[in-house]
Amino acid sequence: MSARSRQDSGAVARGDDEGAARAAKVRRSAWLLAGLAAFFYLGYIAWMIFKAQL
Amino acid sequence: MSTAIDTKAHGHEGEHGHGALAWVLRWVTTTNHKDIGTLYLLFSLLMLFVGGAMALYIRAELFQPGIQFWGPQFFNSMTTVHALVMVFAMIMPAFAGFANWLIPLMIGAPDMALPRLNNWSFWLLPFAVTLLLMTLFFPGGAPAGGWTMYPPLVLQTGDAFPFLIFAVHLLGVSSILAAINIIVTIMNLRAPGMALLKMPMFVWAWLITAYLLVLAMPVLAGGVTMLLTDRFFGTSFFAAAGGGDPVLFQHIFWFFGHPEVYIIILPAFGIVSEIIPTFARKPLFGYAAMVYATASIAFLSLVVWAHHMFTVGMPLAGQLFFMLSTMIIAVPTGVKIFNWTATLWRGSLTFETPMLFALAFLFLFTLGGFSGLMLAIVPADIQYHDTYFVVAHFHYVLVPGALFGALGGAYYWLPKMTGHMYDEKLGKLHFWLTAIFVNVTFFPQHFLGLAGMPRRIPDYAVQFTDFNAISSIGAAGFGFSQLLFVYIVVKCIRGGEKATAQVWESPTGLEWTVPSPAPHHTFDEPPVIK
Repeated sequence: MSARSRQDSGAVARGDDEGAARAAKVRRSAWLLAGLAAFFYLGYIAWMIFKAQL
Repeated sequence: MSTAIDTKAHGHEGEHGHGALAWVLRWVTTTNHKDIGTLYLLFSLLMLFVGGAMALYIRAELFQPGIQFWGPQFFNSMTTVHALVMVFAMIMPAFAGFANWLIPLMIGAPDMALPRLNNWSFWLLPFAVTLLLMTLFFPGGAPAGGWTMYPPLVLQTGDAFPFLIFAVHLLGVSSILAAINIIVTIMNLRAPGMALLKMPMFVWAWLITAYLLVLAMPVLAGGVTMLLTDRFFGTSFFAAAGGGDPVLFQHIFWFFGHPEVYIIILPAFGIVSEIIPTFARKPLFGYAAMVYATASIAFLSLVVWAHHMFTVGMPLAGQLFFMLSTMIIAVPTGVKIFNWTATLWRGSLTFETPMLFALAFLFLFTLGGFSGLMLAIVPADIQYHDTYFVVAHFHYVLVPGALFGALGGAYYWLPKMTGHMYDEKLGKLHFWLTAIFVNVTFFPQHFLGLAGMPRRIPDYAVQFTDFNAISSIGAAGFGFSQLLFVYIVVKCIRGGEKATAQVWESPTGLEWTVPSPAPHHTFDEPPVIK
């Protein structure tokens, strides 16, 4: 996440002590969920190709 | 919305200069959750009329037997594009709009956790829908194989095919990004003291919906990608001639498609759970049970998909499993209906427009649920499959269910968004016109289906004429009644009685603690929840 978007993010905008840590957690969680979605998408296609070759 | 439009109110005046370009840039580049919520809601309203115009074409064609207008191919395109627009471009963005506007306000957060991702989630939508709608003007016509995109039929689509696939991918990406943003916002930006089981039901409903989106949407994307490779790259995932199986696509589609039904209806459940306690002047009955029931419905929605496919031929064990798992959904749904009714019990009820929509939702969604139970019974479904009974069933779930939830929510939070009370008399008129015409439109379709009229046909046997004519008259009334809603919204944005912060007599939730209209920036300092 760029400096500007971190600045824009609600977590940091609050200016509390935990803001930066929370912003990092937000990014981690978002990437994890995006990875999960990508895994379902690509994994399903890969599984179908694998099954077709059996 | 008046606040959102007022650039002076949000402290960025002059950032992009002045004039039309500044106005456009301000909306294209906004990362404010209220702005993006407004964009979603306005886009959804526009799409209601685009998809609605297609519905009116369909009903006009079916007003009497015979071909009235532009032939079967265009009729099939209309049924296909109407469904795709209404599902992906109208009702889902409507609830995403409410989510954007309200989730940060309800949990005491200053904005969504990922504001620029939020902007991108919205702006993918108009491009995706443009890709889909432009196919109407292609020489081969728009996709006409149904919104389910079953192969091999969909593979016969002309030049529109890749546009359809790309549009569905983009719509999916938009939904998944919005869902990710909603999950991380709720999990990370709640005000101190707001434990998960203190969150408003609307927030709970959206948290569960967002997880469903992340689980189900990629499967649809995988399926349509495989369609694309079957058409252009020589694969045979769904081509029987190459060793593939067209029924496989039906499994993939409905593994997405059934959770999609709940992706659409759960936020409406959340809205109704906010409205009923306010106008019954009582706390929601059985809050924890409502949360667990919502989660149970979401989980069960992932294991019932093949009830859409009983006629493809499946082992008896499969039929029994999918029939029984579908019927089990009635248990948590029954818990919700019971709890809403128990909230009304001995409440000090008043019947403002949001409450009227919520009560109509309660009654008519239940009716749609019951016809769903009928369709879950395998031997009955084999009779009803692909008839107008199915059309009646899912329209009862999606229109007086999901759409009434959205309309109720619009009236409920419009004063908070605009700072003005809407015209209550016109609101009630809109409700009664909508509620009467929705039944005139869809109730006769039960009889048509039971009498054997197939769905997705532009012409029909003469014995179906009367109920079709009634349904078409209802559809015209329903469609034109929505123009009144536009008038009410515009009138409310432009002025009217000033709304207080609390708006209603006894609402609960943090969104009612901020002034009306809600300032552009809220909860820079987190509120403390006791």
